[in-house]
Amino acid sequence: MNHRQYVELYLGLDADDELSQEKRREVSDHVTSCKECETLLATERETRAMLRENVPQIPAPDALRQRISASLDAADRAESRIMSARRFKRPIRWAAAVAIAALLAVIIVNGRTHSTANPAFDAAIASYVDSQRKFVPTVGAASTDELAVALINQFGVPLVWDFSSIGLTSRGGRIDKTPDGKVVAYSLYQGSKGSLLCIIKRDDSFRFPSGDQVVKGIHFYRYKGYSIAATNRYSVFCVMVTNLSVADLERALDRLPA
Amino acid sequence: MGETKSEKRSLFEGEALPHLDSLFTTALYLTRNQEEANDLCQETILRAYRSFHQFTIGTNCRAWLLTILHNLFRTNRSRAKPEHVSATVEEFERAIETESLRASCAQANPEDIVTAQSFDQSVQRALRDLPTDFQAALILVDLEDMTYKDAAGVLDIPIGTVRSRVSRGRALMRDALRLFARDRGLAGVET
Repeated sequence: MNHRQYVELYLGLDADDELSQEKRREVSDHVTSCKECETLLATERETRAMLRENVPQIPAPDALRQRISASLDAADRAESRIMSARRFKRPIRWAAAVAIAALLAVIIVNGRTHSTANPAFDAAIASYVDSQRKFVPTVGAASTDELAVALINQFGVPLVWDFSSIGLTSRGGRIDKTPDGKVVAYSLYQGSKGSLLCIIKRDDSFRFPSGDQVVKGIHFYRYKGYSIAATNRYSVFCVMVTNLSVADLERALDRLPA
Repeated sequence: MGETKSEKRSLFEGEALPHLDSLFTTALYLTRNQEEANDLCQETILRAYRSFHQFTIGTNCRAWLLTILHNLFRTNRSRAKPEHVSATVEEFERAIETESLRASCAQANPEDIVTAQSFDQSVQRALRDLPTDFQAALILVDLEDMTYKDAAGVLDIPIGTVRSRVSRGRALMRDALRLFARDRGLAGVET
């Protein structure tokens, strides 16, 4: 061992239970009797003191404390909602299944493709295509609850969907800003047969184009080879783009609250 | 823990929130960005709240929170840029040397350090610019006053690696500050 290694061991001796008694004694005896180690030890201690003296703890900003408090509130609310959803899930699922079956029949018979150009949908499709090349989640990759809480914080509503009925699972989300400073959230769902990107932002101006099917306030379109679902509730605009069929998207409604 | 939701919340806040400044300081140095530091702290607290039932009251809450924070930071960082895992000890040592060299090169403009308005600003800047692995070890051991063993637990690395990172981190700090430190008569600046 060189002198630096002796000093490194010596500095952590108190809390290091991996070293044998023999080794401890050897390190201690060497460092306390070696001039070079004495100098190195002084340098290490002075550097530590310099750091402690000149790098103060930085108080967490009040805005962060408020954000944390709000997100804990949201987590509490989400937990309550999950508990109550579990209580009522079964009857709702039956009712939804009946409604979906009827709706699917209507769509299969009357399915239409929307052909008029729509800039909002074009932008959504471009984001979807980008997400297929690269999507780095910044929130909720490990848990949809976490994603729900982040969306509640931003938009006041937990716009996280359960698409397991069509084989898609959440890959997490991103919360970004548009060039004009508006918050926009993306959440990606993927499965073996396809994927879906959900885009959420505040938008009072969006008007639903005609030629759609509407179920539970959600508008469905087939547009430029993609299936699109769009909602605009409480000024929160949510558009979903997928390469799966409109019927698949509809089927996923089974999981949505009425 | 069989407490009600509001009891759990106040217990959690009493245990965890006193360490928020500590978390924020660490997050700010790791991310070098206030917005990311805010996000990292918020995510840490939320994650801790959800798994609070796994925490034993009376044990080291600060170390527990810092472990969550570092885990989240590592996960986010590895998603952003896949980390190379050294296959052998020699490769690891070479990687560390390369990292040290890269850091020294990054700090090759000492003017930035010495032209800071004050010495404490220079120190903070030098710490901010350290490679993350060294910086994380240094913050835990020197600023958070953790033992090498606790720091090893937080960072999920062997205790020997903590020792080495702390020592190299201090050496990099001295190197970065040598011009300023020479004026102040700090020992060992030429090492």
